[in-house]
Amino acid sequence: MNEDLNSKLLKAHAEGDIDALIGLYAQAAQDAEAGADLDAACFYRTHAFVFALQAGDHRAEALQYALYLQGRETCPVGYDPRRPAAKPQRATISGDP
Amino acid sequence: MHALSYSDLDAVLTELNRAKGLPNAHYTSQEVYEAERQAVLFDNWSGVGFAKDVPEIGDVKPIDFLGMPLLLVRDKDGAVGVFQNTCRHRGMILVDAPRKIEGALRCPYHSWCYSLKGELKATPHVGGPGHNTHADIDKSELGLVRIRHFVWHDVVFVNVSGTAPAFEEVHADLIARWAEFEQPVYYGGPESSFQLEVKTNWKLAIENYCESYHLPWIHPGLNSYSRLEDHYNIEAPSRYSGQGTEVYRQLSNTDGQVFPDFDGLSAKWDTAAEYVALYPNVLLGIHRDHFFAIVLEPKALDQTVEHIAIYYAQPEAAGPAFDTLRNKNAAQWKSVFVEDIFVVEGMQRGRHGVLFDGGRFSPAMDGPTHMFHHWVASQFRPQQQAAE
Repeated sequence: MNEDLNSKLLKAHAEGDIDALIGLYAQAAQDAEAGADLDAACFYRTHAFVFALQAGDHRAEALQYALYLQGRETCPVGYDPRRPAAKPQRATISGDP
Repeated sequence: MHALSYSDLDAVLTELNRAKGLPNAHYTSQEVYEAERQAVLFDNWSGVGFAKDVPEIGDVKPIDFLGMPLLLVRDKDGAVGVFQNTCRHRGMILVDAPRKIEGALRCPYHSWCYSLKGELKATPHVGGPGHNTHADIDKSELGLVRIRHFVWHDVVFVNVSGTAPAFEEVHADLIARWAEFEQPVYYGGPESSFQLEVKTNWKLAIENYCESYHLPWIHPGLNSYSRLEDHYNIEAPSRYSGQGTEVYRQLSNTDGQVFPDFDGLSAKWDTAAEYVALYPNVLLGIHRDHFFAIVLEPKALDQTVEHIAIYYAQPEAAGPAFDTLRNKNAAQWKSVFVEDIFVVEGMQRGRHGVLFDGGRFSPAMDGPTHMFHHWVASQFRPQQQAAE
């Protein structure tokens, strides 16, 4: 991982910036793949996936599917890679719209 | 297993007129306190909180129930759930403070992730770095341990042991007695919720609440309009006991404003109100226009936190037009419950008198209290239960 990306990741961890962590770890995975390091790519992509899962982020399914294609995860239930991921509508029970 | 001889409980498990109360050990012995944890509280339907504590989807709240870590959740479908607040991996506590979960619940230790329905969704690196699966780790078998729960009038009850009959079966009697009140209740908001920390064994708060015998002396404010003779005993062996009043008066503002009533009540409830201890640890009060619940949280052998929440019959009563009246109602109930503190704390101290024999019961006035003692004693006497 390059130093700039590493610094950004450490900053995002320190600030608890989940949205940034998802993107930065996904970037780290792509960089590792470009360097033909599959294990490192799946390691970083796992972190992106876990933080996306925690945040209820729409990128979680695609990240999990990518890991599934690489033999490192189970397939997300009902996921269709041809359908673009939509941001889920947040529901409440308070009656607010 | 228990620090009791059965002869001590024989004196409780007899008719009211001749019975003695539970032995001192039930209030002063750590060993008996721990035995009650299982036999009285875990094996039955115990109150642990309120659904209003997780008002929105994604809300989670940890609850320490006699050292058992529980997690109260509001899942994505809006349903309340209760789980053991323990990761299935290495036993880490999952949530240590109330918060909102946007997506999955992530264990802070190794990031195993769970849905709010308890399903295990991710086991990162379980098969090695970058390998999130392993042939011997079946996610479908490792979801959060769900604790049996039931929500009644917004009170969350749990049966930790999983062995009690269904809540609706156990409490069919009270559900039927209060059938007219099977309607939504509306939480009065932050000013309608408060806690009292009391230096007493939790059972003493139950015993005091059950009876009207103490009212003239401890709550003299009632004497002018709710005399002792206006009260009646409520007794349902092995289920609940308490007292009712025939002269309930609605609280009003100076301009005559009163809370709106529950829909469709019979005429009885114009002037009646009932106050019941639902065994083991929940106190309830029901009136034509409002309802309150007190969940007794045992913190230690001689420490209890009383969690009080007040609810109203109609949604407008929880709104701004009734702010002043709700505050007045909450303050009034708080003052009544505070008046009880010195007697329950005094009984706790008195129980350390080693020559106290458990005491006696007024045959006319203490039936509901003895009924609770009898039920607690019966939890240690399965053979006695079978005979009943």
